[in-house]
Amino acid sequence: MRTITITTILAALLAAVPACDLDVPDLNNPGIDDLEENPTAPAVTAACTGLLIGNRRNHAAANGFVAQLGIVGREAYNFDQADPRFVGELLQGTLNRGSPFGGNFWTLPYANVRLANTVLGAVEKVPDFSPEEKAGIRGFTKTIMALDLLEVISTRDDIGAVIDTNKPIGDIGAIVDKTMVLTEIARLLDDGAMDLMGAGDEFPFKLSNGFAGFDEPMSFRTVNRAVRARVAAYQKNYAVALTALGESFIDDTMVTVADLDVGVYYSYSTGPGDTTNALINPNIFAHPSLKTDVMMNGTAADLRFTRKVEMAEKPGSAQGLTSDIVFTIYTSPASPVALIRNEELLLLRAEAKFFTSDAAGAMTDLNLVRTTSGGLAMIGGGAPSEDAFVTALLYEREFSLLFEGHRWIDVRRFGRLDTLPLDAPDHTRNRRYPIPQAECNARPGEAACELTSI
Amino acid sequence: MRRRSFSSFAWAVMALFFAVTIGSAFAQPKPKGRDLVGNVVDADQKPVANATVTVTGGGPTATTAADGAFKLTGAGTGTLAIEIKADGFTSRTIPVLAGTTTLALQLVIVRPPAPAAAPTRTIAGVVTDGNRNPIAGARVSVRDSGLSATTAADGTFAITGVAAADVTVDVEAAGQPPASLAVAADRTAIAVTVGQAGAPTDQQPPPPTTRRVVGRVIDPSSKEPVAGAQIMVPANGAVIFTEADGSFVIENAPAEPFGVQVSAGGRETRDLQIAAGQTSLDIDLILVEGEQIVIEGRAPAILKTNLANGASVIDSKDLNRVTSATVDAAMQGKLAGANLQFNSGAPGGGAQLRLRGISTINGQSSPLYVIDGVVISNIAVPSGANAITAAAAGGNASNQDNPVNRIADLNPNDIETVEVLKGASAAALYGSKAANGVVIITTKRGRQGENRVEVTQRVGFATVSNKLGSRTFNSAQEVMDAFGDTSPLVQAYIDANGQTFDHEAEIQRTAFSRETLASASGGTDKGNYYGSVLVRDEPGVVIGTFYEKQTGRVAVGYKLGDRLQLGFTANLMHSLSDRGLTNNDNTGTSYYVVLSGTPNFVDLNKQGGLYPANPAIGSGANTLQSVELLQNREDLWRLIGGANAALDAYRSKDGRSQVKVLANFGADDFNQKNNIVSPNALLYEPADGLAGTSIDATTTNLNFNVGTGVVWSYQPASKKFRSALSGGLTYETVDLNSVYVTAQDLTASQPSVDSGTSINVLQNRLRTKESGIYVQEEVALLEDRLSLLAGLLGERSSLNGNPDKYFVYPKVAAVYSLIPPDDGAAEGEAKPAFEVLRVRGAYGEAGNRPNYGQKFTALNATNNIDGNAGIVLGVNAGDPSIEPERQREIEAGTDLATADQRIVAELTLYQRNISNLLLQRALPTSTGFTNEFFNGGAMRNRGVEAALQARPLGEGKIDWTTRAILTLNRSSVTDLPEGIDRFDITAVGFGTGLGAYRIEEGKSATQIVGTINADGDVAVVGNGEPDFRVGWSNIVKVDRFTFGMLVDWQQGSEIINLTRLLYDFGNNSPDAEAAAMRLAAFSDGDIRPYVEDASFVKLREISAAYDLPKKIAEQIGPVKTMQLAVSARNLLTFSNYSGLDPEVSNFGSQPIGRNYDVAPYPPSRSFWLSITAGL
Repeated sequence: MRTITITTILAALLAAVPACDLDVPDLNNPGIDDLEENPTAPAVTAACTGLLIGNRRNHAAANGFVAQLGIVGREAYNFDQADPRFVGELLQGTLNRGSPFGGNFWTLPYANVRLANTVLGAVEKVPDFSPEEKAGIRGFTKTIMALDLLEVISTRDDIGAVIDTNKPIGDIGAIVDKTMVLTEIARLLDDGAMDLMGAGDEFPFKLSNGFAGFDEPMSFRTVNRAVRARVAAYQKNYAVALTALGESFIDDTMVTVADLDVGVYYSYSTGPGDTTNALINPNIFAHPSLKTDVMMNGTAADLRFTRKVEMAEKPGSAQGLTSDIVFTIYTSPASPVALIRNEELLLLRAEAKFFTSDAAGAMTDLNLVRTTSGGLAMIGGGAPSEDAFVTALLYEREFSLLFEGHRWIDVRRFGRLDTLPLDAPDHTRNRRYPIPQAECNARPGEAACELTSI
Repeated sequence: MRRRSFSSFAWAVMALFFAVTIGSAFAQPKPKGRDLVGNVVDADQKPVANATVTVTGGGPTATTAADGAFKLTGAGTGTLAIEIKADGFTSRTIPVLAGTTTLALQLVIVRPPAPAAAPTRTIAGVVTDGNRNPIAGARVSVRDSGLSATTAADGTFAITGVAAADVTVDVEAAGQPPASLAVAADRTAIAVTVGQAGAPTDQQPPPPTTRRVVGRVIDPSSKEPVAGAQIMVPANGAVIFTEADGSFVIENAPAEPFGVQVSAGGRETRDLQIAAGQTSLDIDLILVEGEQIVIEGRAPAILKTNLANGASVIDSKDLNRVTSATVDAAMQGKLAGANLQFNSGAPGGGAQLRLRGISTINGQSSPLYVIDGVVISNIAVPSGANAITAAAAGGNASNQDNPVNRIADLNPNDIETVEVLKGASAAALYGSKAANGVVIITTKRGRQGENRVEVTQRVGFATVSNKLGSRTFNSAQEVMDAFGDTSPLVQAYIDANGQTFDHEAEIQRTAFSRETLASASGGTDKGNYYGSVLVRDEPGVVIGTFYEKQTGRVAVGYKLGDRLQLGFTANLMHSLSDRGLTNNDNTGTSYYVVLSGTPNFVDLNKQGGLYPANPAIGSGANTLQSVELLQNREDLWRLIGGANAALDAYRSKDGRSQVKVLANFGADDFNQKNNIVSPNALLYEPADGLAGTSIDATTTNLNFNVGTGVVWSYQPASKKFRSALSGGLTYETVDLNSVYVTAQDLTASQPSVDSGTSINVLQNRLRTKESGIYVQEEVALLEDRLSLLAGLLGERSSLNGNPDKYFVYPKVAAVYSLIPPDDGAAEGEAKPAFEVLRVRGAYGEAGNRPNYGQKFTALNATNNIDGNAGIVLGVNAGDPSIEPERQREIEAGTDLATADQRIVAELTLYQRNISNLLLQRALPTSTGFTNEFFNGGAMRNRGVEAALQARPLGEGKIDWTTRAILTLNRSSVTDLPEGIDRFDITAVGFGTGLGAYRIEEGKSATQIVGTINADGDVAVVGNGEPDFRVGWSNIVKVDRFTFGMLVDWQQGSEIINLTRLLYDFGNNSPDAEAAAMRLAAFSDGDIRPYVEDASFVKLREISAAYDLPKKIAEQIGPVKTMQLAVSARNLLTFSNYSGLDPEVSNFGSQPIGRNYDVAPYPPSRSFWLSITAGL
């Protein structure tokens, strides 16, 4: 009898086992399917904040945009004992499409572009949003998308990039040339600006502290226009640049350095889940050539130099390179990094004016920055030659926008890459980043994949 | 979770105490010594050589010589039990009464049982006439038998071979009328009177001399006594039943040979002949066939020897000859077909076992570990040290944290056997978790009547076995050339004034270790127990590092009535370790990364009570300070418990058909806490602007298994075949939850994670649910010469895209013995040349499940900006229809034993094809995703496993056994999905510039490629898989000494030596000129100078043990046995590899991607002295 009872219990157990429901959801992350198919207002606004995070992801990393472009642009060194590629690949050799150095600035911007595309598709499906809110989200999203694509093309330059991005996985867009990419970026910005016009008084999500003062649709639109001006300058489309600058937050009525710093920033903090500014790094040193560059004025008294660079407590060295100066631009892990600010806008306007035959206006803007920010004497003597102007402009840009990710792009777009100093005879000047290996693997025979970094 | 563990611990300790107490109560009184001699013969009275004769309960042991003779010295004078074991024979235990010194022991081959001889008797008697005068020449015949005899002059006669049944005897005597007499079956002596008118009458002759026969009835497989067995003695009509301990006494047994019939419920009935003069015997009574079933993992097998796969078994002795901290270490070099390597020299484990090569690219790489039927976790949970090293930028944990795989928690001394099922064909019934093989660990159990208490104390020490050295600078100019004129190192060189420092030695030490082990075991016919404790302290050779382990284990078995058997086990483990900070880093913190850039003239020692900042390193890290102040603690509590039940649900009356119901459940619960404190005072700490880092990580994991099964065994009356049909269900869950809290910028250097101003939290969860249903049939045919097996498992898992879909894994296997069963060949017939000669073949399928999360396309919701939470795109695109990998394996092999088992050889060839691989395709990242999971492609492994064992010496005083095993495997990627020519493994490595593992169709799965020139051309530069591995072990016994040696040889495979690259970059390689050339080549894009051959020969284990003579042992204390042993592990390494240790893996255990050397923990050699006492 007892046997029968036990057998019955076991049989019941046997029967119970296959009935178990084995479904286990993703316990760690939300899924993209929900955002694409059943978007909700909180999910879409979280994704909008996510776009800011995604756009910031690789900007102030030790191996990020500012740091790497600083190194290839001979503004900085990274003497990381553990990773010789900061010298070997960025300064000495060519950029390797398979490495996290040469293959950088592609994956993360495109990840953000995909999220942006998802947001653009999702926002229309959310009934909770008013038309103004939808327009605000569209305008914001397109602006961020433009910034991401700008990061890609700024690093790839004449190799080109992909702009046809809203495709299912497995389907890839063509790599198109630089002109087309910049045109697409301009279109996104212009569309975004249009959306922002009809976006009401506020965004349905919160921007970061770095957008303080520019966190409502209309003020944000001035940022959109400022970026558009930068893109126009890269396109050498200076008339458009001037128009865009007119709608931007450019302000030449200032008298102080602080006013030049007005603009938008990538913000960082040490809060949980937030990102810190990793440019605070004992391995990062300023390039010693800055000490000689600043002497182009015949004086080291450029306030920008003294403000942004100081003697290191102890010199750093690696692989035969040494430096005894470090940056003071970023002072804490919560220091913001400029996205675009008034000082750049003034220099853009100087550039645009010069190339639209307003040399005098150009020199006014240039000198404004030079005197206010650098504390230097004005450059007089009437209209300079184009060569002299570019030399002067690049000097001002070098020190005004020092270690903000500009110099390498600037010398390249004016064809002056060879003015970058070489530290050793066997060093090279990389002029662009190659298409990453993973991208090339999926594109057999792609001509752009034949192009290297030099 | 913690409370439960603690109360369980208390329970375990109490149970153990109880077990020890019982053990003491059962202990026999201390006997005085005597010598026992005897010989061992088989059923044919042929001597049996090499049989082991042991006085049970820890008494002396002897091995029989060629003539079967043995001598046991120092055996107790009381009644003893002697156990005789010999290959090919059923072992038996024989009681020896007090005073007996000479024994003629007879061993009987149990399977197949010798056909019972028909019982016969001798009828003897006397024929007399009516006057009681003897009649000579009378003819006495047994009717209908043809047997007859003629009386002698004194009238006596004897007729042998008379059936033991009622017979009639006819007597014809000259001049007398014929007479007939009925003789009952039990009569052996008669007196016949003829020649009188009346019927002849018989008279009882004087009783013959009788004897007393004692013995025991035992079960040969379990060694348990059979109580209540019935022994019928036809000779005197006695019926005797055995006592609870299986013993019996036959009083007044005839002096001449007589037969007995032994029977017991559920067991085979045996008819035995007891020789003249024999006064004791042991009777093996096996269960009726089918009950001999061993539970082979989930499914039963009739006969272990019939397994068609090259299973490898290591027993407790081989495992623990030289003590080791972890099971992994104890197994190294002992398994054919296995490649077992340590990830670093850090104390407390961290190893990877690969069976038959690499079977997956992205799936689980660890074999499945099953301990006493419970599937346990072997996960390696990172410590979170990545928050300090930033080895993998971002994230709180990284596989470069040098984690321990959790099998390390077990106490190797608790293990009875480790059995490794390597092939899919063997492992198929573990389904989708079995692709990497299955390691089945059986722990020790108590045995009946054998109360044993054993205590071992070990002390030892370890020293660093290899150092890298550093460059010596001879002039300030040389320093300037290396580091630049303005480098602060120039001043440091001048300050040093020619003094140099051995920085490696400064952070290392001789580490003194100790280990205490105690166990108690025993049992009765109703139950058995085993309990053990282990306490081990093993400091690491790097200052500040250590591994401490305490374990307690209880196993209890109990029989409830005749039909129900229950077993319970509980195993509590605790370890506390500190592994320092090693492996790759990007912050200038890891010990050897710092040393790689610190020239030997830099004085790192305290000056004025303070450690100076290291002028050579950007971070200022001073390794001397780091080893003193940094804490990287791992505190682990783990409880593995299980219960199982076996019920005899049905048995037919003839015992030929029976059904058994099995049920088991088990749980493996661990709680791992990692606390890493990098105090503010550490010189590198403000590196990121946030002084002080504290990491508090907790991982809890629960594996739960439940299974039920039914076995129906059957043998027809004709005994043509035996069959076992089984089926069952399984259900398993795994639930893992890791939470890492990282705090930086610690206020007042307080290590609590809430005192930091920068606090990051990361949680990682994993949950799987699986259920399976299996059926298996095994048939033994042709007198067990042929064994056939087929099984089928259907399994579904939450990890698959479709959790409701069953994936079916079949297996078939066959074994055929070329040696006919020994049917007691007649005298003079030639013995077969081989004792064992069989061929086997098997085919099976297994799988490898998708990893958790591979079916999801995830957004990342853990980020925020200024406190505004946002979701960003994840890295991976999931595959909602992902399936397990499918492994199909075919293997064939042969086993042989010859020359009285002096030569034993095994050879297995296999081919495993793995298709539907879990691939992680690197997407063109313009899609926004970096990787995509999908199924596709195929790879293949082919290999050879061989084992050869010989006993060149063994007859005389010296017994030498030598055994060599070979492992050879070649992998090939046979197919990649369309559109993918090749891809590099991204989970490990640093890109082709520093050597990458590349998956490429038609190539080895473990090929390493790297750039070889400035144009970035990529070529194959090495392979992670060894050409072959050989393990060679030797055991030499000389009298009371036992010497052991194990050599582990790896030939081939390449290591990417990035430690050397770091030293070269730091201008710190001892071979400065060669370093410059290597660097020059590397600067030209050539990685090859840093790809090195990893071949090595290691003297893995060496030991010498001495068993004290009992007389001496007894004088020392209340001990029965005592052994002294000295041993050493990893004593010598022969290798051309320039790094610290050719066994290295910066990325820990990986399917593909070992052999990266980035500033690892240095290897050590350890020496031990141990004393073992049996109480």
